Amino acid sequence: MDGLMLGLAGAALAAGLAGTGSAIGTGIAGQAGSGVVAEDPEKFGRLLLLQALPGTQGIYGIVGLFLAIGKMTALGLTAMTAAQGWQVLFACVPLAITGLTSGIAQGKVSGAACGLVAKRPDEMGKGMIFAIVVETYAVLGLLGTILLLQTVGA
Amino acid sequence: MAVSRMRKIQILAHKGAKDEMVSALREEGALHITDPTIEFERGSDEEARRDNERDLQARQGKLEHLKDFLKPYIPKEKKTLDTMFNPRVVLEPDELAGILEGFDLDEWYERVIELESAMRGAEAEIGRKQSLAAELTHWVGVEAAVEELTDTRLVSVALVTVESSDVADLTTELTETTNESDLVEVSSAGSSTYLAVLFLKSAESSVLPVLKRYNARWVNLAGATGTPEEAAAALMEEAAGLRARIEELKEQAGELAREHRTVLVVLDDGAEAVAKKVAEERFGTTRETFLIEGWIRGRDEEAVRARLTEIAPEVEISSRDPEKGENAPVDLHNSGAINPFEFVTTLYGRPAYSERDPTPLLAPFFIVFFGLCVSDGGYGVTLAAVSFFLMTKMQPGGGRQLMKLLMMGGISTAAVGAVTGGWFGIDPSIMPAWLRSTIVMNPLEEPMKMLNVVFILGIIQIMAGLIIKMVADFKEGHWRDGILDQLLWVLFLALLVPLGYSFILGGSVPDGVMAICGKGAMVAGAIVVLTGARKNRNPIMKILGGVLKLYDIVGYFGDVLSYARLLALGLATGAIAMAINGVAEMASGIPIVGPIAVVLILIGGHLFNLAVNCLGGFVHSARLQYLEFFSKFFTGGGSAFQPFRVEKRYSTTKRE
Repeated sequence: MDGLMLGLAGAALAAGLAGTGSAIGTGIAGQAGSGVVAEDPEKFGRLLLLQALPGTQGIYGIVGLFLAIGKMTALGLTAMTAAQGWQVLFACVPLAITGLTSGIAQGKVSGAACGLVAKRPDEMGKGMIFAIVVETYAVLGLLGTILLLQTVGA
Repeated sequence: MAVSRMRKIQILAHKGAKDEMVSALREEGALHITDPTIEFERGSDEEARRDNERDLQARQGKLEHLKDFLKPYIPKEKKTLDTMFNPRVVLEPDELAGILEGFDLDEWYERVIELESAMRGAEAEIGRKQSLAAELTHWVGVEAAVEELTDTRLVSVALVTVESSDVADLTTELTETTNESDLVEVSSAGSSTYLAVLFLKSAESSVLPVLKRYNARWVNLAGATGTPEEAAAALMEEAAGLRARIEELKEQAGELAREHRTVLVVLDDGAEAVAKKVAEERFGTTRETFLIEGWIRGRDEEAVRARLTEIAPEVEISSRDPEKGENAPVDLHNSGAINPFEFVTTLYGRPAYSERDPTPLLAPFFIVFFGLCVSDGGYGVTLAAVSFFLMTKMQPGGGRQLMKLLMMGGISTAAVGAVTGGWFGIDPSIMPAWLRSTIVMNPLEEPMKMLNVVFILGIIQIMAGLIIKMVADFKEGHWRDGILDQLLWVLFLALLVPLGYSFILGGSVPDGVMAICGKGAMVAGAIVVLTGARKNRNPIMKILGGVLKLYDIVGYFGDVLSYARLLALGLATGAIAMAINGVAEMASGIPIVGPIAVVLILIGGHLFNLAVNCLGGFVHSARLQYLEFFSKFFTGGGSAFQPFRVEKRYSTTKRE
């Protein structure tokens, strides 16, 4: 029973913290976007795209949660030992931390990109690239979690 | 299939032919106008041009006003797919002249301003009448006619409201102050009480300060006649009349809006006129002639020359190739299948004029990476079908190219889905045999295997980047750089791959291969150390720099790791699709609404997943091109070729 509890804590952290990162990130970008729309409503579509960029961390968090649940189901849920529980918990850590931090950081970059779109709409692609560079670390965090989950229970 | 060849062109002609020539150039849309390289005096011509431009702008302002006013009154039409994707007015080839001829801006503008001010006046009047009627309801208790509640020769009447809690105090204080006043409570609503205060004019100086101290608000009932009840009813009736009047005015606006297409067409035409006048600012002018300088695509030159010569046979046109180092604008020109990928290239920037267009080089990588990111056969087929459908509906242009790109991405995604067994996140074990037969590996079960695949793709792209740079170096005669900076590294990296596979990923490599690669890598590494800093003059730095150069391995290692995102994004698609199916399955247990909920969850969920993953797949695939691929060979920095061409927003003309 202890094992399952710890494992669930890991899955919950991955989804919860990564989701928090996205919530804050999309919040920051959304504020910047609203300011630009006040001046030029026609840019709404592009700004929405920029706001959506820091939203991926939350999705990665849910992916991590499902993979962790899958792993724990394979381990027999209540049959999990405490050691296996800790393993799942630690495997979820990279995603939880990178999801939280990169979501916020990416939100700031996306917010700045909204300003870029306001002044030079043609350069939106470059703003997106800046934001995507930040997201790399959320992707790597997810990858880290996936790889670590592979080793659990061996 | 690359960067278009540019020619610097100078057009010198007589002013008499200017308007016709500018129109012809705009229609051809082939000239990128630049500032003249010869200094010209800016004389009275420029002033006249500016005045002309200002007049045209003012006219545009009026037209914009017409357009915005009419917008809410445009009669609703049934939307078809065709009008949704092409909302522009389509004109017959000879229709424009007639429309322009028959359009009288001043008449339209006057009419609209009239309607507008009539509507606004009526709205304001309704507001006034309504608030007065609302005020009157509080005075219903007064049985006199409102107009009689005015001062007489000796007595003043004050109609006021005060806080209900103050009424008692006010009454007391007023009686204490003077016995020449009377106070009648008419009604109270909320926390306000409505009072009529009567007092002798001689007592005014003592009554008013008391009322003011209690924050009495004077009520103005001017404009009402009869008892308050009658007056309120009359006012409401008048307001209703005004509302009917507004409806009438709106109908008139609707009549006008029937012709809103005319306004759009004229607006477009006006914008063209403004653009032409603005462009003229860059012309060089003398007393009798004008000079246009600019860049023209080599392939367009003949047609433009012929057309201009036809207009004015005495025109003088000279052209030349760009000089070395001259910053010619860049126009990318690729065949049908590669063309949509120009979007990916220009998102990052344009190659320098002398550089190779990277579009055909990135296209195959981009499309495969996109497929790996979205990675679900069902999504791939859906995406390809939807984008193909939209593509056929759209006019040629940026949107259509994007749809073409997404369609190819969809096909690539479907292929990846077939290989990895991803079909809407359904468990492969319950799929029909023919769908299972194409599965090579399931990344959800064997992520390490898939990780190796994406790393190999990354290594291939990085090496391709180095080889492209090497070929460019060779072409320019930089043989030594090509061999030592690129070819050597390609070999070095190739030798390091089996070592990395064995040591880092824990894969098994035959001992013989390991030994050969180990020795080879040592030799290659030694050459890197010896030659890496060959351009440094300081002999100590030559060696130290060479050792530092070995650190580039870390950079290449990081580049390869970056391709792991392809696996992560692919897994994310599959995992979310499975999650959606799981939620739908749970919902199927709900009685009665269960089946509906299942359908909604499945359709909405998978569409959301498809959209999110397309966005992610696009930007991450693009990023791999920009940061991992371009960094090996691409300099960029070219400025865009921006031809002087017709840019109509609201209308198009059918081709003859």
